[in-house]
Amino acid sequence: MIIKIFISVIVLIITSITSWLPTVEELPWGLDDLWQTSVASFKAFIEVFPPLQIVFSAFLIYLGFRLTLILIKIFVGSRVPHHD
Amino acid sequence: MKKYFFFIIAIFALAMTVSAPRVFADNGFPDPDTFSTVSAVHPVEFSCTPGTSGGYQLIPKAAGLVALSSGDWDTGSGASGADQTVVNSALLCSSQVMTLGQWNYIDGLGDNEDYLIVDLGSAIGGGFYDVLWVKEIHYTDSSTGFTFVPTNTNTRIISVTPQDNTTQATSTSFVFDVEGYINENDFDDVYDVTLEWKAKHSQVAGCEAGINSTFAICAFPTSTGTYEVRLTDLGTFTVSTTTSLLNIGQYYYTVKVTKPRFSFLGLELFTDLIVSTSTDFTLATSSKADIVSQESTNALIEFSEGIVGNTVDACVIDFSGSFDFQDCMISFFLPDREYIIDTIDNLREDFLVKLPMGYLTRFVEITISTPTSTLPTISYTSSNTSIFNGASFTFDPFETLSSTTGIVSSAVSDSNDPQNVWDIMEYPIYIVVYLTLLFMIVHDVTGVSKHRKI
Repeated sequence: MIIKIFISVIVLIITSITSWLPTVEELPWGLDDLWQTSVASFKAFIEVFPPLQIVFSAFLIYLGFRLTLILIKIFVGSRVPHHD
Repeated sequence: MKKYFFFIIAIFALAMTVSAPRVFADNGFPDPDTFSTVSAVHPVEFSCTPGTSGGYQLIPKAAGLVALSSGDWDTGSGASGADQTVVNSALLCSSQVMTLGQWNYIDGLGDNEDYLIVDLGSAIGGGFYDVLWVKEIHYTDSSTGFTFVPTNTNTRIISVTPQDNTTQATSTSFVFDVEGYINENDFDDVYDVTLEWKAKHSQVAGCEAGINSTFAICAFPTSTGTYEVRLTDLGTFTVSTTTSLLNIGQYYYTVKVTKPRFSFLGLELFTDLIVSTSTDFTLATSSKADIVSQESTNALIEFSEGIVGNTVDACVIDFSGSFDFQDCMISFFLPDREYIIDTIDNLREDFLVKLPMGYLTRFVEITISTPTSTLPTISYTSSNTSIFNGASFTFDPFETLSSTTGIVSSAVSDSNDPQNVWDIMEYPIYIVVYLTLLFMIVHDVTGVSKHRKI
C-alpha cells in the first residue's frame, strides 16, 4: 500500500511537470515516413530471408554486451580490468 | 584467424550432418488434397458406438450433410438426403483410412450428379469420433481413397463429467469421466490419466444440525478420491469410474494427463503434465462449511478492498490449492500487477509521448508496429530502337528466396514433419551465428587481440 501511494505520487508529479510539453505525433524532417518504410522493408526482407533475423538478434545481443561494458566502465571506472 | 575459420567450418559441417533432411516417409495413404473436386464443408461430429448387428455405428451428433457408400459402408434404411447412421464392420472406430466405394446419391434423384460424399474416420479407440473433416467429392471420383484428418488435432480435454458449476445428485455409483485427445507430439508410448475429486469441506454428520451457521468450523476434507489409468494408444481416449459420493457440499474435480519422464529401477521419479482441467460442482447442496468459507472469503476481500482500494487476489482463499499467507501479506505492501500495468500505460500516454521522450517513443512504436511491405522488383523496359524492341523485363530477386512462396519454401522432408530449406538450415545457422557471437564476446572480454599487438 505504501509503495503504491509512493509510486502514484511520483507518477502524478512527473505527469504534472511534463503536461505543458508538446506531444510528439511523428518524427521530424520526414524521418517518420523514412523510418516506417525502412522498417517495413526490413521486416519483409527478414520474412524472405529468415537467417537475417538470427543475425540481427545476435547483433542486438552483441550491442547489449558492448553497452553493458560501457556502463560498467562508467560506474566502476578504473577498477574495470583493462588491457591498455 | 585461419584456425578459427576452419573451426567454424567444421561446426557448420557437423550441424549440417545432424539436421540433414529425412527421407520422405510414404505411409501409403493418398493425399486428400489431390482430389480434383474436394472441398471442406462444415465438419460433422460423430459418436462411434458398437453396432447392434456387429461392427460399429457412426452417428452424426448434429445435423450435417452425410452421404454414405454402398461399398465399405452400409447405409441402413435411412432416407436419402438425410443424416443416417453408418454401420461399418471393418474400421472398428480405429481406422484412419477407408477406400471409397460406390456412393449413394443423397438427393434421392439417382442421377449421379448431385452426389456428395463423406468423410468419417480418424477416431481412435472407442467412444466418440472427433470432429472430422467432411470432404466433398464428385461421384465419379468414388474409387479414390483418402485419409481422414481430425479438424482439431490439439492435445486437449474435450469434456468432463460432472461439468463445471453444475449440481449433481448424491449417488452410490457417482460417475466421473473424461474424454480427451492426445496427438502424436505429446504421445510417448504411455501416458496416465488421473481423475481426482475432493470436497472443499465435507459436512460431518453431527455438525449439520447443531452448529451455528455463522461459525461452523467442522470442516475438513473427508470426501476425496483418485482414479488413475495408464493408456497406450494415442488419439481419443475416454476414462470413466464410479464411486459412492454421499457427502453433500461443494467439490473440486481435477483431471490430469501426464506422461512419465524419468524412471529408475522401475520407479517413475518425474512426470510431465500434458494437459489438465479442473471443475467445481455441488453435490446436492452447499454444506454449512461451504457457506461459512465463502462468507469468510468475501469478508476478507472486502477488508482488503477497503485498505488497498482494489482486490488483493493473493488473499482469496482457494481451497483447491493452498492459501499462502506470505503472498497475502506481501500483497498489502507491493502493488499488484494490474496497478503496475496501468501505471506504465499512464506514464506512456502522459509522459513518454511528450517532448523530448516522445521522439524515442515514436521511434520504438514504428519499429514494433509497422507492418511488412512488399519488396521491390527490378524492371527494365528497353527502347523501341534497341534489339529488344521495347520489351519489358522484370526480375524479382526475392521470389526464389521467399520462405513462404519461393522455391525454397517447398517441403523437402517427410510428410509427418514437412520442412523446407529454411527450416532445415535454421539450426545450423543458429549454431554458426551464436558461436561466432560467443567467440566475439570471449575475444572482447579476454582482450586477446590487444595482447597480441603488444
